[in-house]
Amino acid sequence: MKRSFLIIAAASVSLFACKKSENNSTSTVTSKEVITDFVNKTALPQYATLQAKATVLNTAIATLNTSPTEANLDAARTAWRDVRSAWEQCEGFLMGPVSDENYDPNMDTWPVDHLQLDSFTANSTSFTPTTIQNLNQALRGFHPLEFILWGQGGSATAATLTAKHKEYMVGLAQDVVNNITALNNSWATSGGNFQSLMLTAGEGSTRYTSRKEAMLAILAGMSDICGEVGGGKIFDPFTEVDSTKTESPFSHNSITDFTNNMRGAQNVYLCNYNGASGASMSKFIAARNLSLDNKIKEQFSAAITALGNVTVPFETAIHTQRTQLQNAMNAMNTLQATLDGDAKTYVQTYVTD
Amino acid sequence: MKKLFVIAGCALLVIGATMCRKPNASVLDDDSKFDPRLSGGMATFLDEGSSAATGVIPALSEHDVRIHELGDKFFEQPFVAAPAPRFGGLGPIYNNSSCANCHHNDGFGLPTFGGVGSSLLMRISIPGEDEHGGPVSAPGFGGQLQNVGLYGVQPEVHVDLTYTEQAYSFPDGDEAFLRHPTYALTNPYIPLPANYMTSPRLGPPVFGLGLLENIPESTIKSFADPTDANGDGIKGRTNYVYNPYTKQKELGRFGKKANTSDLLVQVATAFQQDMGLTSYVQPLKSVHGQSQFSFVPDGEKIDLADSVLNAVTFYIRTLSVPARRNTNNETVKRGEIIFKQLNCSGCHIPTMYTGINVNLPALSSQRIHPYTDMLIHDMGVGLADNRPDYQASGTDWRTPPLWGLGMFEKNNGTPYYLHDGRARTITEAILWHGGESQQSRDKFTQLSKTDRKALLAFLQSL
Repeated sequence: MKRSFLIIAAASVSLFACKKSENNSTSTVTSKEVITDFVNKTALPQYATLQAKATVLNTAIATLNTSPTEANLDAARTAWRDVRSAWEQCEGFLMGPVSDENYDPNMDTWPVDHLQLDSFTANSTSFTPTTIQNLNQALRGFHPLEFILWGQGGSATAATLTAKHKEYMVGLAQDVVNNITALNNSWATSGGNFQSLMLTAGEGSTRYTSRKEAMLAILAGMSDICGEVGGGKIFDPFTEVDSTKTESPFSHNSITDFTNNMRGAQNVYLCNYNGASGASMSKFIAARNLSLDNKIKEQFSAAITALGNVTVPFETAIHTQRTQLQNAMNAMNTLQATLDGDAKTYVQTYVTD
Repeated sequence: MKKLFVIAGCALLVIGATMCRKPNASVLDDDSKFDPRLSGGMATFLDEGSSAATGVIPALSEHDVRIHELGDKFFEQPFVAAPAPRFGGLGPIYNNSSCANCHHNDGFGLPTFGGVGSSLLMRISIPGEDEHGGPVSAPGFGGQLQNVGLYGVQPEVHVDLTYTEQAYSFPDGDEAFLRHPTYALTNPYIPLPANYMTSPRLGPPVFGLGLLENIPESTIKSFADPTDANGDGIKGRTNYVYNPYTKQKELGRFGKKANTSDLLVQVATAFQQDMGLTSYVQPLKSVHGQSQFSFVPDGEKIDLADSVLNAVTFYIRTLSVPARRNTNNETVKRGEIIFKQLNCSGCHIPTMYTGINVNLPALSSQRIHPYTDMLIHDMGVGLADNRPDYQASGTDWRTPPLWGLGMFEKNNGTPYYLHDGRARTITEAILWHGGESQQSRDKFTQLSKTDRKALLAFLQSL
């Protein structure tokens, strides 16, 4: 991760900036409010949505299992897309347990391990959530499920689902639910209570000894997803012109995945998930640097618009719409540079507690 | 020919000029002349967030950053069974399926066996020495136990880990709880050999290793005191180990017992032993000669492209060290003095210089603060694995670097310390110190509560 140059620059600028006399204007929102609303209005509600969508998926898979009709297959595919939408938005803030406890790779690893998947589904061993939990990550989570629901090149139909496919699919869906439930618990006050580590930043939190650290962590979450999409998810298949490396190749959902990644980060920035309004990082920055805030907002929109300009599935676009993909990556790199540069300097300068 | 004289003349001038200035060592060692935050010199990452351990060293060329990022991707990528269009060759038995699963965020994972986030592995050997003076592989098991198998493949063993807790009371009444681990090997695929010896190892953080690789051998040797000539109770010793690639005995630097000499072999051996992936450095499957070899679909072949192994090695070599924090805090400064007073710095040596490296200027001639002497020490029976590894005895461990220590929680959630992750707090880790470090540990227990806190505050600032 090559953020180091900017950080040194940012650090030196911020030292300099500290010496300046304090700006007279005061923030309309405090860092404590931003952190609190990030937890209560962005992170927790998005995880709650994720949980709800995962439950719907689990039910749809169970229905498909007992009654394998085309309509039920379609319903399961829709449920899969919905939970993906929620999850990819949650990737706008990959901090704390989701990465500490491997919840992310445990449900979102690709490419799928075809060979073993085929040897499984030809085998007579049973699949329970426990056996699936002990599998390699390339055999767990959303993408093996995607493989079963769509098949290579979208060739799956309700009739082609074998008994073993169905058994595996049921186990996979339950494993995803278990994983997401554990993720939710890790933030809940009744569970791992990660939320309190954020909420008490600078007031006894062992994880964030100052509010500045927590604010920087929120900012880094936004920046990291820009880097992951622009520098990895799009970049790798694009440069190698290799469609076997794309995120959701069977459902052709990759571009939607990327767009939701950017929306997730945008939700964090604006604190407006699901129509909420709150003390956002945006307001915090606008208080002293309106043009920076506007720039970040525009760059978020530009990145999402650029992805919208890709009109064919990602697996095709890496061959036929390379200009559009290049533009999308450029937009994300620009946004990431702003977040790691000016925005970070701003937070380092003006969050003093 | 003339050029040579000019060059020689210039060199003399430089030497002459240098001698005239008479730089004495104390100026170079005077901390006040340097930014105390720069634990890794130029290779320091000024970030206090949860990805502080994952920063590339600053000032790498664009080309080098590209290689670093390529290595990063393979470091995070879970591998799968062969034959596969991508990332094939895992297993058929292994410990984990990606580098990052054990070295989470370039730090460590969980002190458990066999899970996706598990970071513990078990070495095994039988008494004696092999032809190079190293441990003797256990017949049918090799030098390391692979406790996970591909679908349908029986792992070598299952490892059970249980702890018994024991309370420790400080003289002032404070309490700590020490976890004693017990390991049991169950369900071996063939009977285990008689007299087998095991050694648990928790995957360590992987940042800053390029700097450690670049410390001159003479510097490390200068720290050694095998006969305790200075009478401080500390005898640092070097470990000389066999390098399977260069086919030479070399100074051991990496591994819990300094049992590996360079990063290329460290990375290649981890790929081979932990994941079952072969490379030009370690070309044989970990199941070579074992019955599980029948599950390797296409026989002995190289799983990793040479450039992949080189890129991952380069990635490890070019990870920077997290910068120190709160270095001007009075409590932290007090803690630093106590650290020296207790002679923790006898092994955890604060300051040294790296050698010249023309390829990577950021690693070259850097003033660094790794808090290690890179030597092996008798750490007492409490920590002993009783399994020798070259010159390291059953009670010896290599001094681990302490840089980045205060970032472990942020980087990995619950932090775990020591070779097998038994300690959950820095206090527990200190209390486990025995052998050559017993004196320092005993002095720690005698400190006032305020001073103990100051010492911990200092360690947290690393």
